[in-house]
Amino acid sequence: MKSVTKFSSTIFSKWTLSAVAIGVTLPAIATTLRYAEDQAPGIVNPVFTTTMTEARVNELVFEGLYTDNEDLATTPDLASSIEVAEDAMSAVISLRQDVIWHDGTGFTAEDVVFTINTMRNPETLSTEVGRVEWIEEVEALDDYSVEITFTSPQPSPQDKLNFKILPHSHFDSETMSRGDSFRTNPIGTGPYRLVQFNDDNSVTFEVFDDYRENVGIDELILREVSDKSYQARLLLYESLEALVRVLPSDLALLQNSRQVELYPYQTNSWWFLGFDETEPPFDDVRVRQAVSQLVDVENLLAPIGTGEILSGPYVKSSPFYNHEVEPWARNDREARLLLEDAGFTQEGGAWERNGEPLSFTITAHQGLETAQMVVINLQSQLRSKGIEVQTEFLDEAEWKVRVWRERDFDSMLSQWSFDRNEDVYSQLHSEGERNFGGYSNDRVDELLDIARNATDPFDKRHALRLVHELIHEDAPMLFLWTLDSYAALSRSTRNVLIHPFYFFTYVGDWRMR
Amino acid sequence: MRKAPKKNYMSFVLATLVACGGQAVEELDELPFGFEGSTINTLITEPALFQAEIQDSRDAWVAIHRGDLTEAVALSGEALANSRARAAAELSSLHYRLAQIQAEALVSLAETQSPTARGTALSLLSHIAIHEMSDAGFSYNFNLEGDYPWLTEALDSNVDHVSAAAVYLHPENQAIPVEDNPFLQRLSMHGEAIEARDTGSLQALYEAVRAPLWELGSIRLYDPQTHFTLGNIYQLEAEKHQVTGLSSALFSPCPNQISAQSSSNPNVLRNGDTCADQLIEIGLESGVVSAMLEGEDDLQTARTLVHHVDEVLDGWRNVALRTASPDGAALLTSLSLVENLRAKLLVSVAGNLLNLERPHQALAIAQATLDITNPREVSSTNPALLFAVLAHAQLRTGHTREALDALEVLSENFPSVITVDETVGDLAVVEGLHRIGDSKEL
Repeated sequence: MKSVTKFSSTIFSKWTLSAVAIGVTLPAIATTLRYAEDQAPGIVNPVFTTTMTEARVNELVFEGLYTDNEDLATTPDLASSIEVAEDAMSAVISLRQDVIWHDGTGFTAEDVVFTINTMRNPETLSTEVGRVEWIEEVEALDDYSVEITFTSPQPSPQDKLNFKILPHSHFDSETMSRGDSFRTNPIGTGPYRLVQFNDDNSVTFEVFDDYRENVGIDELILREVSDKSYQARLLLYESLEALVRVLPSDLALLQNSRQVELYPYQTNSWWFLGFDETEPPFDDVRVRQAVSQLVDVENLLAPIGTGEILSGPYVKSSPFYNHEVEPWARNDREARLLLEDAGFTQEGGAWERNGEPLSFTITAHQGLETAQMVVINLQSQLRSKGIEVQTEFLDEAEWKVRVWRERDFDSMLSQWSFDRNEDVYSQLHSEGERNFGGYSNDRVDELLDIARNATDPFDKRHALRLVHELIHEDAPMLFLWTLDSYAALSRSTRNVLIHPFYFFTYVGDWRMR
Repeated sequence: MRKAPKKNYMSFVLATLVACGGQAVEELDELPFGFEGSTINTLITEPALFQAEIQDSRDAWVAIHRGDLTEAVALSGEALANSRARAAAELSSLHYRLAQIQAEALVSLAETQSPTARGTALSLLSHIAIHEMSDAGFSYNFNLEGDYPWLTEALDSNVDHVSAAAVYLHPENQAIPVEDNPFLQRLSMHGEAIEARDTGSLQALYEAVRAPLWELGSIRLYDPQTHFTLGNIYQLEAEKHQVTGLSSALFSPCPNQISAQSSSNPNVLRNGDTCADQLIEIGLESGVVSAMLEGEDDLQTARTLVHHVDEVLDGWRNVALRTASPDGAALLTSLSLVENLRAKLLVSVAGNLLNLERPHQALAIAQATLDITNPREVSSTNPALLFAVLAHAQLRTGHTREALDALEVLSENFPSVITVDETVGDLAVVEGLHRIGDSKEL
C-alpha cells in the first residue's frame, strides 16, 4: 500500500508536528472509498465487458491510448501524439515511455498491437469487436510507436482510440477466452490495481505505487449490495462513501441529507422488454404489438419511482428521439384484434392457437431486485389478459451464457446504458453483437449504416429518427422508460468529477477529507 | 409517470389564511445575520401584508410561484403592473440566456462545417445571432469588423434565401427589399414585435419560430433571433413599471426588499459584485465568497459555497419555524419560502459565474441547486432559469449532450426552446461523428 499521510483537522496536524518533534513514527493514514454495485463484476477483462459494473472497474485498472478530459474532449492517455496521413487512411501514434504495468514491466507498442489484433480476432468472440472494426492493420514501428491503417478515411482517429489496452505478456496468443485466468488477476496500467476478490463478494483495489501521476485516494472497495434502498441507507450510516446509481424512490431521502452530494449520472439509459423474433410466438409482429398494447407501463414504473416513458430506443432529450412517435398506449381492443388476426382465439379467458396456449417466459437477471419487481408485475398484468407468463431469474454466469451467447429466451427484461453517442447499431442492426432477439429489417439496417458512416449531423439525425419510427412499429422490444439517474457520494469526498458514462475516468483527482 | 398533477399549494394557503389570524409563537434574542430584514421574516411575521400585496393579482402570483411565467404575464393583464413586471423580468433573463446558448452553439456548429450551402447558411445565422447578442451588451470575442467574409460567402451562396438574406444584411445594401424571402419576413416579424412593445402580440412569433427558418434537404435551421427578441420584449415590458415594496422581492433571488429594489432586474446580474453582495446579505462570510470568485474555476470551491448557503438557510428555516405566526408558518412550509429563495439565489450566482467565465463552478452550483425530487419539471424550487443556466454551463464545459437534458425540460414549458434544442442537438451529433458509441447493460 502506498504510504501516504493525510490529516484533515488542525488538531491532528498539530499533534503530528509534536510527535515528529519527539521522534515518534506515525502510521500512515490511508484513505478508503467504499462504493456499492448491485452485483460484483463477473469478469475483469475489457475485451469481454458487457455491464456497466465491469466498465467502471475497467476505468480504475486499465487505460486506453486516448481518453476524455474533464470537458469531454479527446486527450492522450497512453499515447503522446498522433500524426494522421494526408489521405486520412493511416496514422502513426507515438506512445508514452513512462508507463508501467501493474506487474512492473514496461508498456510498449507490442501491447497495442496485441490488443487490437486480439479484439479483431473472430475466435476471441470479443463483445467489443465493434470498437476496432474500422482498423485494417496495426504494426509496431518501434517500442514506442505504432502505425494503424484504416478501412476508410478517418479524419480524427484518436476519437475512436479509447478502448483499453492489455498486456501482451500475460497471454499465450492473440486468441483470448473469457475463461482466461486474467479475468480474476487483471494487470493494467491504470491508477488502481486489483488486489483481490474477497469472500463477501467485495473487491479491493489499491493505488498503483508506480502510477505516473499523483492519485488522491489510497484504496477503493467495491461492495456488492443488491438492495438499492439498503445501499442508500448504508451511505447515510457512513458505511459507504459512494453509490453509482440511486433508485429514484430514494432520491428525496438522500437529497435531504447534508452528508451527501448527488451527481447526475448515466442519463442515456432505458429499460426494455425484448422479444425473441426467431421463434413463435414473437416471430409475428402482430403478437409483439399486441403484448405491447396489453401492458400498463405506468403501473410498472410506479413502484420504482419517477421516469419518462419512451416510444423508441432513445431517451426523450436525445437528438435522435422522434417526438412524433407516441409510446404504445394500453389498448385491449386493438390487442385483441391483432391476436385474432394472428390466428389466436380466446377460450375461457385464455388465448390459444391450434390448441396451444399463448405462453412465454420472461427472463431477467436475478441481481437486479427492481427488475424482479417489474417482471412479477408484468406477469400479473399479462395473465389477467389471458396470456400465460412464466418467469425466470438467472445469475450472472447463466445470463452471459443464455442471453449473450446462446440467445436462448422468449422475452427478456433488461436495461441498456449508452454513452453520449447513443449508438443503437449493436442492439438493432441485424449484424449487431447485442441484437439478442434476432431483429432484422433491411431498411433499418440501411439507415443504421448511413448513420454510422455519416459525416453530416443532419443526415445522421434524419436517419436515426426514421429508425425510431420503424423500430416502434416493428416492436422488437417494448421500450419502457428512462429513470432519473443520479450517483451519490459522501461529502467526505472532494474534487469529485464524474464521467457521464464511465464514472471513474477522473478518479485520480478525487480526494477524501 | 412523467408528471404528478400540479399541486396548487399557494391557492390552498391563501384560502386558509383568510380564516386565520395569529401571533408569533416565540421571540428570540438573537436572529441569524440578515434574517430580520429579510422578505421571509416579513412574510412569516406579517402574513397579512402578503395577503394585501397580492390580493388583486392572486392568480398571477400563483403562476409566478410555480414558475409558469408566460401564464403569469397573461394573467396579470395590463393593470396588474407588479406581477406583470416581475414575471416579465424573469422571462427576459430566461430568453437572453437561451439566446446566448443558441448563439454559442451556432458558432461552434458553423466552425465545424465547410463553406458549402449548409456551412454558409450556418455561418450567416451564427453571425446574426452574435450580432444581436453583442447589441444587447453581451461580450463575445468574435471578429465582427472588417470585410465581413462570412457575408461575402453568403452573398455568393447558391441558395437563394441565403444570398438574399446576405444582400439585405450587407451594410451597403440594407435598403434592398426581398419580399419573398422567408428570412426577411421573419426579420420583419421580429421588428414588429419589438416595435409594438406588447407581449400580447407575441403569439404569432411564438407560432412562427417553432418551424425551421430554412430547410435545405434534411437540414433544418432555426431562427437565431428568437430568444433575443423575446428577451428584448420582456425586458421592455419589465421596465415599463418600477416594482416597489414587497412585490419586488417576493419569490426573487434577493433576500430582502432593499437589495431587490437596487436592481431593476435582479435576474440579470452581469457582474460579480452583485452576486457577492447577495451572498453576503444572507450571512455568508466574505472570505467564502471571495475564495470562489478569486481562485481557479474550481468545482470544490463552488460546492463548498453551496454547503455554506445551505447551512445559513437551514438556520433561517429553523428560526422561521420558531418565530412564525400560525399563518406565517403555513406560508413558510406550503410555499417552500426558504427553498424558493435558495433556488433563485443559487441560480443567480451560477448565472453570474457563467458571465464571469467560470463555467465549471456555474455547473457545480446549478447541479446542486436542482431539486431532484422532481427534476424534470419547472416548479417553485426548480425555476425555469435554472434549466437554462444548467444547459449553458454544460455547453461551455463540453457536456453538449447533457445540455439537451435541461433543454428538454424547458421545451415542455416553452415551445420556442425548440430553436435552441435543435441547434444544440446538431452540435452534440457533430461532436460524436468520429466516435464509436459504447453501450453496456446496467
